[in-house]
Amino acid sequence: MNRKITDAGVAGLPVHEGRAELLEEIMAITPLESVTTPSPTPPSKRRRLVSVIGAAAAVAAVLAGVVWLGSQGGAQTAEDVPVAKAPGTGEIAVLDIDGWDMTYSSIDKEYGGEVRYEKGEQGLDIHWRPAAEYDSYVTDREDVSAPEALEVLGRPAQLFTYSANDHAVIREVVGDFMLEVRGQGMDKTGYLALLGQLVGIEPADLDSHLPASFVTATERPAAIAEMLEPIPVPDGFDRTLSSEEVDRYQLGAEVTGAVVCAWVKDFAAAKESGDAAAVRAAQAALATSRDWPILKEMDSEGDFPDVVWDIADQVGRGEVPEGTEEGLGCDA
Amino acid sequence: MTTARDDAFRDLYAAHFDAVLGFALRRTVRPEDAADVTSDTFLVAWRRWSHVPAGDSTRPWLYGVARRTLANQRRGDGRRTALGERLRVQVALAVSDLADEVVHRADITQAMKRLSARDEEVLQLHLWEGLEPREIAEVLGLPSTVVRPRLSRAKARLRDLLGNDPPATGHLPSETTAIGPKEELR
Repeated sequence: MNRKITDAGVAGLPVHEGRAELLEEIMAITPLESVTTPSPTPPSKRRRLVSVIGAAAAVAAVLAGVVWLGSQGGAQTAEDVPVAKAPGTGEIAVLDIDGWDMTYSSIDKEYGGEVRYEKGEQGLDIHWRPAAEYDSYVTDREDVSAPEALEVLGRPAQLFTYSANDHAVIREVVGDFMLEVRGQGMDKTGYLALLGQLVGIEPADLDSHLPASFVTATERPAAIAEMLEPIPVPDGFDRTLSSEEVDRYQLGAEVTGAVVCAWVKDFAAAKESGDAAAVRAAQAALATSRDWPILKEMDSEGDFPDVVWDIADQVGRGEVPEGTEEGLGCDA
Repeated sequence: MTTARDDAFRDLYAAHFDAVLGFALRRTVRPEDAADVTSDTFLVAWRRWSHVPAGDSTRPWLYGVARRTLANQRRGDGRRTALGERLRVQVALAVSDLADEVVHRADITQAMKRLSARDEEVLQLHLWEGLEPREIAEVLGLPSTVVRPRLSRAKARLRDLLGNDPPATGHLPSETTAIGPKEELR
């Protein structure tokens, strides 16, 4: 629909009979599982991630079941699919082609990383994730389309088709990571050709494939020090932050987030213990945040600085901000 | 005989039906397709009950299922659920009579289409569904550390497209969905 209905609008739709009838129809169907009730406590963050993937797997199971009528899906066979091969069998991959620019990257010790390349309206996203995630991601993507076998960087992989101009491959695990590469804005032929130009590298070699605007491991300590230099930090704050981010925005978020987390922690403890001097120190430090150069730099690109400034304002009013841990990744 | 599971599912259906149907209606051209997505989403929840997380995670989980069901539908695989025939008819009729005051701002929707698919999706989940980064992460199966900055950037790009005209909250699902920094705190 072209007009986007609000939730309030949905609640007012006269569909009561259809809604009630569907409920009874569904409950007349035999469940796939034995009778259980949901866990009374939410699963951990990690579990939730798996749950979402599991949900898609459940959809796939249902789609294959009795509720669907007349599947017309025509899965291609492996013989139909060209083989994409490229030099290198590294754990991760990069694209080194003129005209394709790296526009985004996020690197996380626990989750792996991603880089995005763009050329006009075309985009290529390369994700590497922990090897243990391979099975669940393949199961999840099997719901996108029937997989087609091919090779990527000389290793077995599976191709999934989101649409005529949107494809993804998942390559089998090499080393510590599974690799997923999704191309949008190009047809299958163009996508496979691009896959053939991927270069397999080791994670430690990513630096040599970064554009100048990104931060290499060698440059990172100096970049962190430069970001921290004009920022007041609490006593005992470790200025040698450990980070793997290569994108200045992401790195800036990590650095300033760590400082703000430390001040908020100090502020909350001081308030609890009635240490008025420590309360004032935290308020004064965070009150300078609108002058932190790295936040000013990031402000043109995203809203993370606003988060910091909002927290600073709350602390300035004497309030302990709620949700700072999740919002800024404190103790992450 | 009514079981605890029956009761719990009825509660879940009552609590989330409008949200799932709204999620689907905002992403489909034909209202009938939205009805099908809704039917399939709740069928999955019923059949895979032990997969359904409790509490605040329930709705993002349902959106995740609906999102996958939509992806199948967009593949044009021609399959149609046998469930919810009356809902399909009623939704089609009801949506054709929609009043103007229940629509989201068209200029925002148009501007979002000019963003990358990645930006558009996080913004839709944020502005249309009112989800916070943590919940968006659950729907998309991504760590929230990735979603948070992605949403921040997407919002900045949207603001650029709108000419620094931040959307009013009046036509959005709730007061929490204005383009602003608050969502980052959750």
